[in-house]
Amino acid sequence: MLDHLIFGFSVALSLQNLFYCFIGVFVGTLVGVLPGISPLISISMLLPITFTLEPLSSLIMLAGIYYGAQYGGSTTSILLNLPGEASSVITCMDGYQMARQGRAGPALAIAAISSFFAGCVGTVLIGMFGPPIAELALKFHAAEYFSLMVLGLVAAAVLAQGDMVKALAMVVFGIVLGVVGTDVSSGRQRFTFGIYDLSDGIGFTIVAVGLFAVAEVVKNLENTETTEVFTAKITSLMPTLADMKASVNPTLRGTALGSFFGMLPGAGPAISAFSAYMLEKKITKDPSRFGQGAIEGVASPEAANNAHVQCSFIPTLTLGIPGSPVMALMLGALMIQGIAPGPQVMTRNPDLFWGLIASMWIGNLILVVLNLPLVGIWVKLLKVPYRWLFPCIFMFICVGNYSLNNSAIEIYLTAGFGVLGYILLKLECEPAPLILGYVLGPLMEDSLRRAMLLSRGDPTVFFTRPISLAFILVTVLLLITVIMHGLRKKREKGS
Amino acid sequence: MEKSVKNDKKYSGAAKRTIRSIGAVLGALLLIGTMVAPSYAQSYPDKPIRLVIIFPPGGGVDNVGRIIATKLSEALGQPVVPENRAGAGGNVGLEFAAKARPDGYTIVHSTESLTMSPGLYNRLNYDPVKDLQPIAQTAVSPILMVIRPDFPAKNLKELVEYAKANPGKVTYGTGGVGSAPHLGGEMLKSLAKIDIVHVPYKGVVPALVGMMGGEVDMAFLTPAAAAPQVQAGKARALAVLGNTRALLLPDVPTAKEAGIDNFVVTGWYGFLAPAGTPQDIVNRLSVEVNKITAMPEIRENIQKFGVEPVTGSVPEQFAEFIKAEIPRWSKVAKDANIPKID
Repeated sequence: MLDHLIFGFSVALSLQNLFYCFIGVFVGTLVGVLPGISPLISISMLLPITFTLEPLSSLIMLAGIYYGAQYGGSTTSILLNLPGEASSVITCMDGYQMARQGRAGPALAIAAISSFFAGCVGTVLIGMFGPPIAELALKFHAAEYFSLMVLGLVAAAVLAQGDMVKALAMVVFGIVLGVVGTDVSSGRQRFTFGIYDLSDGIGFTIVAVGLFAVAEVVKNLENTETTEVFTAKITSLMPTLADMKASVNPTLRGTALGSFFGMLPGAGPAISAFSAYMLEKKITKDPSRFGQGAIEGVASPEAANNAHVQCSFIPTLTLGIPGSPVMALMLGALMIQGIAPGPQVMTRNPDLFWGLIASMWIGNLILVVLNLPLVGIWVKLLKVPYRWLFPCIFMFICVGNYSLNNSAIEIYLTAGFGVLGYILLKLECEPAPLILGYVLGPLMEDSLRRAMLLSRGDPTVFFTRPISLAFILVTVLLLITVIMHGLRKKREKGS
Repeated sequence: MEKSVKNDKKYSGAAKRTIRSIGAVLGALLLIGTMVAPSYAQSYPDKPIRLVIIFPPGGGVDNVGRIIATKLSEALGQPVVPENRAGAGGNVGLEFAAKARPDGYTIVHSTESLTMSPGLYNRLNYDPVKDLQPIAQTAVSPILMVIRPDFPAKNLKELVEYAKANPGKVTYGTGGVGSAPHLGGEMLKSLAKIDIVHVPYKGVVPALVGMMGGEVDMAFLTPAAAAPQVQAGKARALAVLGNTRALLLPDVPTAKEAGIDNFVVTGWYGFLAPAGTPQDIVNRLSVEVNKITAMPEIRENIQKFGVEPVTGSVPEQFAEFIKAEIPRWSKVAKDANIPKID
């Protein structure tokens, strides 16, 4: 194992590979900062360039773009409530509040540090347990996925801040939005009103950017004073010792959750970030701080999404199964180099496998070195008068969302979700449970229907499969605790 | 003009002269522009060409399209810019191309979706035959039938026997309802008169994962997705649904060799232009594309994506092929009772 890693570093530390690693994470950071310009688009554009590179160099660069984007995505989330990538929606919730309180610096720094830690853990995990983990992940069938999703959604509704009924309504609304498009089981169109562009559903970036960023800008324009407030009282750029201490455990927990979900092909990093955030909120002594600028609410999801991204390389590298479209592109890049991806890559091309893993660690280090000094520059961005800043934000949103599919409908939809987000803001409904429902709902439906199809309509399949049963039991336990808690409160009030 | 006259006062004599000469050059260019406009076919192309790709980045049609676009740019002396317009099983991009201006500056890289859609949709916003002018086919991709390594049946014949003995028990996964692999599975049901259950997934890769994890017994997949797993022994290939064997897996028999005639399900990629694009431009593009698909290094790169390059595809023959494929797919979809999409 150690020999392998040392070998990997010896390959990855060549001047050429270091250079491409730097290029990759640098481009990735930029891509992450710009919403809509996804790693998928940038990697597919860069793919022809890699034909002439060494296989390892090209893979190092493309991987760098991918995880670099996760870093960059958190920057705009914290500064502008603008989620650059799907996985950074959660970072908006507390990161942006921290920025409003003049603590953008510590938020950005903690995001970078916890991501770095998670990235390191992910790298070690791939190196040590890659192949057995990948085999285990294959044991997750439709029934397991379904039970896991149920757990996730129940947890989201139960643990959301404020009104539980509102949270539940938001989750359900999110699910409804999620079913727009082609029904997987029958191939029929649902809620598309004959519009071709809706047949693949509504893009995640559209919903997230509309509900968070656009709504936020509109709200800020409502009263001009508040927008200038958080530029005035920027305190320190670096986190205090107390901040660091408060972030240690959340980072560890986020890393664990992110690593788990990352290994499952088919679960996006947003799920990791969400569950990490929900977990922190559940176990904290004072849940009301969440959503008000709690540093744990930045550290944990950031760690989770970065660990997820690293671990999602496991099924790709060890089984040759791409866990996401980006991974499919990476495999494409490998194939173009004449390397057949699949289980044999580890033994047939050890330099490639271990070199890439070592480069990921190096890349994460470069990202921290690159991002920490940038914190000062990013924070200065907040000093730009809002009347200049918000047209820029809108421009980036429009360009980014247009580039998703080269169609103007995406921009209209974003505007629509902006209006919806503003209405929800006024009704004091949190958009986060809606996003979760939107992400998990279709996955859940897909798993439910497939599980039922495979069991020929027998619902006991969810209880007879051990992993699935475990998830169901945790869900029930969670519901019981909440109900007991509610009853006790009522009794205390009564006496 | 008024403004520029006023501004002139501010400039020195030298600057004035420069401005005047720039103006003269611009004027001359404008004049030349109007003069050559009517005979643009000779000067084609004089601006970048948009290449619509009907699926998202990363798939075979995208990869092959981009490989050819790079060479086509060199050959034409103008950039050929890939633009992914995905959605509705490729129909978003096809409709866009069908309605684009037929001036040779918009072309589309399509898949077999073009010939399958009429049988799957009640209403298409374009006519696959009348609204699009075929240029050249670029690649074909036969569907591959793969099965779990621990499944009792060892070849296609045994599978058919097993399915006859256990009706409704064998499951097969595909990347989605109405995809070529799905129609392939339905074709097998009617040709071999067996009862097997279709399990649709959201994409080819989840279907592959489902088969490897033992969720479904077998899967109908593209060679690009399945070949690495077959080579590693994580899946067994029963048959290639093509007229010839697959380049990536030369040991796997065709369905005909394995005992079932007429069991052919082949995907393809090809370039088309909006109908009404000048014939000389269509011919020029066809010649250039065929030159590119004949280059050894390009053929090699295309093959790496698990598809087989096609050369010598002329517009007329490609058009005949499309016309013949549409009723064939429609019949399969109808026989399989696949509901039509509104």
